[in-house]
Amino acid sequence: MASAIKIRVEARDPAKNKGTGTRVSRKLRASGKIPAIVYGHNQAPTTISVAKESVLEMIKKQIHLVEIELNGVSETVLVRDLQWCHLGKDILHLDFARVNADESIETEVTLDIRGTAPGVAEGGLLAILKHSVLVRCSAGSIPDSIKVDVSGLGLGGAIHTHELVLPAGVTAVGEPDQLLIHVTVPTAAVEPEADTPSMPVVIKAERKEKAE
Amino acid sequence: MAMMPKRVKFRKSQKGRVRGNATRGNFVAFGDYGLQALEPGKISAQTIEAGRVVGSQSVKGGGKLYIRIFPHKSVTSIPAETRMGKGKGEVEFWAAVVKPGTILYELAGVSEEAARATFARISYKLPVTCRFVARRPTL
Repeated sequence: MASAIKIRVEARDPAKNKGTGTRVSRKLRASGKIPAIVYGHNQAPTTISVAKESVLEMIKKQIHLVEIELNGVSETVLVRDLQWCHLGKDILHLDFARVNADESIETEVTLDIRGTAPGVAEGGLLAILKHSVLVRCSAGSIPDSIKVDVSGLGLGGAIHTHELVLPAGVTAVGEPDQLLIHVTVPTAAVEPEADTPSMPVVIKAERKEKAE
Repeated sequence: MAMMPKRVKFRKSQKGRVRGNATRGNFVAFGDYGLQALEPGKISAQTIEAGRVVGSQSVKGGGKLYIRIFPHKSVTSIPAETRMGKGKGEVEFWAAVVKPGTILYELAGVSEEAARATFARISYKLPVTCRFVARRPTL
């Protein structure tokens, strides 16, 4: 698990429209900062800005937990939400939730798929249905990723949530029978039937016919 | 066979304009790599099918190709040399409305090079400029 890194944040200028709004956010982004908010623990939400480089480093290192210093007070926060632009190139906004290191939280952790499934060599296709799982653990012990070994998966083999090997103190949330990864048997493409109608059925006409 | 809705409330729809950016369907959700539209437009069911055929041929059963768009909108036209009036024309084809950012196709179970090659071939068939995208990192 990655330890919390310390990042520099700045409180937004309250003189300018309380430091919020589209214009303020756009100006911040243009100056290489990302607007963010800190909330939780029954304290007033605080609008801040974070350096873009710090956020990119957090993403690269898969760090969920961050230490920030705001108005002389050091706080541990968890990245709760990450908002991207429509093209997925830029980060628009970040949500930080105040947490204690020993507090139980729920977060998404990516699956790190290791090995080669023998079923793939037999002509199967390794289908990854879920790339991350929702886990419950203490904020200070969030795993970077959950390692999944697929070297035992033959044709038709599957890995479910309950089969995951989770670190101590980490439990998966949700359906234990949730299918995560399986090796599918390739099937020939299904040709559409010859008598497929050339036009869709109009619901209104259908209703009229029924009424008659 | 080109895709089209099975049941519709109204057979013909107004033309409309494609405005704004994609707020949904704008990230790789199922596969590992995707083909993202960079400009707005309408993609006909025949074009979507042409892309699927080229993509399937390219991956040769080695991966899974997902189609992320569906032609919900009917496009009508009146025959050539017809006088104006006499109502709206007949449905010519069905099209998918695409906004900048929309993921058009996705690929799973292939290498990045193979995915790039496949999407390059698919993008030749499409009327909008596209770019290759990978799965978005999560935190």
